[in-house]
Amino acid sequence: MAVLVSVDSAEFTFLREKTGATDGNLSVHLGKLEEAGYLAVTKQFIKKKPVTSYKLTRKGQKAFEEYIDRLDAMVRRK
Amino acid sequence: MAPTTASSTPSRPEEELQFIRKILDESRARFAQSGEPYIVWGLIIAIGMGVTYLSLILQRDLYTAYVWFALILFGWGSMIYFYRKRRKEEAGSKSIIDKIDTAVWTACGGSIGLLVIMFMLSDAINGYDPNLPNLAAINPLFICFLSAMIIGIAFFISGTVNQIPWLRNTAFAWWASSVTMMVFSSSIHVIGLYALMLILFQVVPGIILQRRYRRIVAASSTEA
Repeated sequence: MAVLVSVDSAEFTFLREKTGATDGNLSVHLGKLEEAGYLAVTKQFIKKKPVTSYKLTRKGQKAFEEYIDRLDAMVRRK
Repeated sequence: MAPTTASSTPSRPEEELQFIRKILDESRARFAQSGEPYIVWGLIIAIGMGVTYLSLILQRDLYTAYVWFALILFGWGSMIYFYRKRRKEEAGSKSIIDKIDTAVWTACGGSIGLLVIMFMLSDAINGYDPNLPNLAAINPLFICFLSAMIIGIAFFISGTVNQIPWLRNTAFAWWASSVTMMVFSSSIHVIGLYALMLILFQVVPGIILQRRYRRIVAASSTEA
């Protein structure tokens, strides 16, 4: 989510590189975020290669901001 | 950046916040505004204008056309190099700010290029047949004030979308110089002023931007 919040959209391979997650792990997490309506997924072919791009939805952006606020509040309480 | 797996991502709130901050800093570094294009184009056009100005002042042919041709060729070659370098760095992600920035400066360069072609063509046509209506019934030196105005617009938009106030405010210097050039448009010294403007308000901002860019990149590498 942190990677996606700072870009317009990002490809699966880019997200994998930035998070260091395995393909399977990342797919599962992205699937859950998509189910929750936090991500919009676009699948297309670029030069005959399948490319999947992810973009944060408004709902996802709001959820991420709320998450950061809660984390911040927890850290301040300590 | 040390690879982490989803199973080993930070579990404590402080670690999570730090991790997120690191990711955001890396993004900031990736999409930070580089000063290289500003420096390259600023120098290229300043040199071209400088040579043109000197040839007019000294009343000598300094092979101005060849100089311009070589400079523009070098300029576009550099732009292709910077574009490829940027694409490699950003492979797999897109930023709306980057898109807007690229579009603004492409439009700016294209518009100024068109102005130059129009004036050159009109000069060629009128040289061929002076009875034809003068396409540059406008003073050719008007190209300076028109392009200064266009450059001002590009700086304003670029500074605004990148949230760099001093870069945005450079636009006002360009617009002020544009008005000056319009007022003194009959004087060839306008060309010299334009060259000076490019050094002061394009190359220098480019150097400042490039230092800022290196600081941001260095800061994100240290945190990684």
